[in-house]
Amino acid sequence: MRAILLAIDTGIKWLCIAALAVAAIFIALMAVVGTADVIGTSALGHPVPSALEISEVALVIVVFTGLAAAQMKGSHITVDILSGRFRGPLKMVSQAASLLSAIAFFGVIAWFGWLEALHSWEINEYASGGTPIPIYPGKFLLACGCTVAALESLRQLLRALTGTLPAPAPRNDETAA
Amino acid sequence: QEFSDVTLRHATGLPQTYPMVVTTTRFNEIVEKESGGKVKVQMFWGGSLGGMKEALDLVSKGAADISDIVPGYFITQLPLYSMTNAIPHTFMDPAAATIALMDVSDSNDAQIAEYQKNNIKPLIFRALDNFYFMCTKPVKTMADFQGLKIKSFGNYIPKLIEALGATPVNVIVADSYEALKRGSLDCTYSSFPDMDAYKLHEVAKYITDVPMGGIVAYSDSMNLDKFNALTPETQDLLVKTGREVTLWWNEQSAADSERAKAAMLANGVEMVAFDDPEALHAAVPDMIALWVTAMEERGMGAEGKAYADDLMAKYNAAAKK
Amino acid sequence: MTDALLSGFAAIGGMILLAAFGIPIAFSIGIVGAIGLYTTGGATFLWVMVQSLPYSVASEYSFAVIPMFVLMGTIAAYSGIISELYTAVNRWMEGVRGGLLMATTMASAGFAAISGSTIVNAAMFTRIALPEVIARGYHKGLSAGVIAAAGTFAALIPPSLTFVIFGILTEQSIGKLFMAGILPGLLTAACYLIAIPVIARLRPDWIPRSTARSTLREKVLGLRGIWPMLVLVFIVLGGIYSGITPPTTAGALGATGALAIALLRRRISAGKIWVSMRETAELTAVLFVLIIAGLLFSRFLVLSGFVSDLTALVTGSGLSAGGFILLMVMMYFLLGMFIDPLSMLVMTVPFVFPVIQAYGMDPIWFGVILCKMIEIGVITPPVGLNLFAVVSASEGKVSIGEIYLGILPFILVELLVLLLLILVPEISTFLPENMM
Ligand code: NA
Ligand code: NA
Repeated sequence: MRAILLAIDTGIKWLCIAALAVAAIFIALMAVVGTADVIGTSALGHPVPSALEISEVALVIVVFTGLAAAQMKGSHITVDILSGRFRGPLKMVSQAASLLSAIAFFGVIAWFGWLEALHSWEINEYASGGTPIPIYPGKFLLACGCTVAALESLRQLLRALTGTLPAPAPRNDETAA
Repeated sequence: QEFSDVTLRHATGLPQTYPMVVTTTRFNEIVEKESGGKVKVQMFWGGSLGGMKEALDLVSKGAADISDIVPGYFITQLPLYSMTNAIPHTFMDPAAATIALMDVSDSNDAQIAEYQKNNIKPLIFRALDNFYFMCTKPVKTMADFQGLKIKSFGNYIPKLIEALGATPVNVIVADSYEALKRGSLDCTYSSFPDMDAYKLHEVAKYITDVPMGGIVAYSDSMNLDKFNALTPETQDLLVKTGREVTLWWNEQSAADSERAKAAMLANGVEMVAFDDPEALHAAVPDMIALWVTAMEERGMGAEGKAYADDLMAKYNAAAKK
Repeated sequence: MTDALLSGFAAIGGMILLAAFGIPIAFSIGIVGAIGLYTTGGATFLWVMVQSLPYSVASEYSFAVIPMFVLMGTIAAYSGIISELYTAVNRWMEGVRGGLLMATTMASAGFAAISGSTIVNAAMFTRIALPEVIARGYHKGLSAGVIAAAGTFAALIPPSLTFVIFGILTEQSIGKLFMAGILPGLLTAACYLIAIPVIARLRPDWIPRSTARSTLREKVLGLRGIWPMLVLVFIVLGGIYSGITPPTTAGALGATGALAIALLRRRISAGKIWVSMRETAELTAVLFVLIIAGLLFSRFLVLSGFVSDLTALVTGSGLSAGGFILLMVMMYFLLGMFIDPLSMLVMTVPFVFPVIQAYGMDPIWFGVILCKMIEIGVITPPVGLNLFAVVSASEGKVSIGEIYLGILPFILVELLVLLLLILVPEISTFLPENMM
């Protein structure tokens, strides 16, 4: 039983990292497409076709595939003026309520996101631009990202309830190579 | 007369101050008055319930009862309806295009089926009057277009701009002013009222005097289920008022363009005489053919062709010769 | 008091309770907003919102500058460009109490000339400046407060998204509005420069006294360290002012430029590039969740009639001109504590503006006042987008409690500037009347 839980725990962490890698790829894409569009338009007289539509879809993907990692790191802003002083059961309840609200928030967006993505895929939805850009990949990744974020919140909730939620992870600037 | 006792939630992405929305206000007022106050309209302006790209969802799923739908944002869901919104340089008499579209919406089975599939019932149609090139320097000849950076959007305007030897640039409305001012845009391609509303005449002073045709901009459409649930009298009232307001705006539109043009001229804008309008028109590819080709690529070739034929026949009949 | 006002205030109270109990702010706002939408609009309405709003907001092209400029700032920081710059600036400013915060204020005012978005300024300068000033012993909350508050210069100093929207809503000249914002923007920056030494006097523990004294030779030699930053500024500023790039694309150019400079100087590793991307993605995600939740809440306040009732209360007050302005300022201050600036602008201006005209007040001057009030809204607790942007961009260096405290002096300064702008309309109207 413990082994299964640990495997799930590790699996979800890897999902978060995988989602983050997708976000990183699309951030890079936004920078590259934007720069190429500037150079293409000003120097060559040929903008990148549908650069604006590509950036819009990329932004959606960045936002929602970055969610799970943000949740893992505990990046969502909390007013700790009062709750920071909670101890014992009160602290536990506050933590559990936070994670439940995260599960509800991401879960609901994910649920409707999947419906929307399937619909978009069925009708083969395109954005109107000089060159048609498909919209459904963005909608699928929105749903995926929210699902992973909800799973990550669930993982944290289980750990909190079993009393094994670790202290917030150390910050990047200390851990980064 | 049996009117439904109902409050309609009417949302628009446009601000209350945008010129064409007088049709919306007029529609709401007539409907409330003619129904003796039984049909009430609750109005939400400026995208406060949802942006332009959410409009189809808002209406078809019933979050708003009526909203303005720009079909060009929904080319996948509304392939037929978006034709008159998407293709430039085709409707030299934009008012006739709204009449044609209004007729097609009542009579063309494919168009009606498309509306039903999306659960919408269009009530008011509006056209944007003729588009013009407004530039930061005078554009008098075909050669002057070479290399100009012109604001573009959608699928077809880029093709028009490229055909003139210019570069289509996608710039959002909020950036257009600054882009023209700094020179990352040389021209915008727009109607007089829009140039005036977005204050672009402050930074671009030359309008080339060749009208390039208008487009059907958007419709205020109603949730079809909600519409069908109303009493026949109420349905008639909504349809009749929508038609009335559409025709009313067709009459106002030219005057509104003149107003906007005069305002811009008073602000130092100059109309530039183009030396060879015929060459300009001839350089632009046949947009209907391009549209039909795009429909073929989506496996809707026959449907698209039949729709275009039907619509253009009605347009030609209505257009001023 | 109407039902809509009551339900709105109840929702605001509920949101504050949830947040105080430790529920992350975004979820507190989002959940109360969702419950509100459900009770006023019904289940269908709520589900349509949940289905369409997240995608529609996150695919808004004008927001694409946020991750791009954040990436630029992050790469610049990790590649050492920023610390070299701050070392150089510090040598010149070491005699001045609070010198680095003053330098940051001026830099934010300078960046405002290319950025029209206040959240971009706040997030980017946090990545750039915050670690540097904190490392030199400045109070965390105060430093974060300066950055959040100085971010608002982006809206007053042209180009400005706020003025573009106001111009379109009220049919005023955008060019005049841009001119009108310059002096008030500079005045605000000047007031910050005065306020920082005053704060140093009142709270000596917040601002360190530098003991180092560099020689002129050291100061001049230190300037060698600033060239990479100058190149980056040249790329972005030059790109916009020469017309090579529209403002929204300039972020992508800046991010690529920062990476190119870092790579050419061999000052960034693959690991640091990954961390930059990662932090940018996380920050973008956190900010958008806040924006999405905020819009759910705003739409509830619109649908319930809260905003229109509140506006009607103010516009129908029948007070004298002075009383009306006071009441209006109070209304925007209240709204600004809880809802996002864009919704506030679009929902209220069509009702307030005709009243302003009826009182015979100058519309351009009013545009500046409104812009100022909206910008105060993004830095007032509890819901202030700039505060959130700074806290999330700080990667845990600053807590929301610290910034709530650190921002207070600047809210005071802002209110003083607002009072000045109201009493002396010429600060706003002089340039547009004489330069155009
Ligand atoms: Na600015
Ligand atoms: Na606030």
